[in-house]
Amino acid sequence: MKKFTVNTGYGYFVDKQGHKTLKAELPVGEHDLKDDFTYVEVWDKAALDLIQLYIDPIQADIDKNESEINKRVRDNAIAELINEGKIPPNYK
Amino acid sequence: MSISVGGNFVRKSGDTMTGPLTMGLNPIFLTDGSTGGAIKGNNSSTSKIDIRNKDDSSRGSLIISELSMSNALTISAGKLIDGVDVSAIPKAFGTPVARSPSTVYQAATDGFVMLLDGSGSDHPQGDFDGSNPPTTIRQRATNGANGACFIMPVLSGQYYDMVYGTAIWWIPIEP
Repeated sequence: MKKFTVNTGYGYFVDKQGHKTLKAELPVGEHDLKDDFTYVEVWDKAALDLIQLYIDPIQADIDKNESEINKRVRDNAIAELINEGKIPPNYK
Repeated sequence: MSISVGGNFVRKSGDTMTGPLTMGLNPIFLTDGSTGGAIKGNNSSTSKIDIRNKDDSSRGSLIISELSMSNALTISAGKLIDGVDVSAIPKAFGTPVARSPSTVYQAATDGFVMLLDGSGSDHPQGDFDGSNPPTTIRQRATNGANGACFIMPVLSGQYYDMVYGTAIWWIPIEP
């Protein structure tokens, strides 16, 4: 296991594809680091807030589709229950 | 007054004694004649029953089948109850601390991360493990029209992060 040292308390992780995946606010000192990642330190919280993290477009697409599926399943279930008179017609 | 007893020793109700009572092999049975066994201190607010080994005052034990108390039980920090270090027993939840999404933190104590995501489209996720960045998924929620929420326990010293979340709170358990 690799180690890295936190000096300012603020930084972010970069994966082996070079993507900034997660920010970090960690106590000063030495920490364990997973093999496929590097840690980049920034000066302060304000600098950390400016960092834009990578969003995997494929995963984002999956999430979006999943949300749409969930919404339609829910809407259909509500419509069915309203038709059966089991819940009020204005149920949302 | 000091009394040494090798066999049975009976005192009458109402008798008082000051000074140590040293017993041989037999146990001590105390009765007050009306309500069963009783050990009573005097009227002083500092009155207490002190049970310690004769040759080693740092040791001593008291076996009780049932304990009723009208006041708090005070145990010195670090002492043991059935193998449990009472100094490690948590006292209470601490004050919630706001956290940012997609940011790694290290838990200084055991605690819980509470997440609420009201976006209606994200899929919030909670990870924690022992190294950076934490990649072990412990919680995941499917978001819907009414949002998603979950609470994730985290062990002291572990690293955690919440992916997404419109409100994230760290709730420590204070030692």
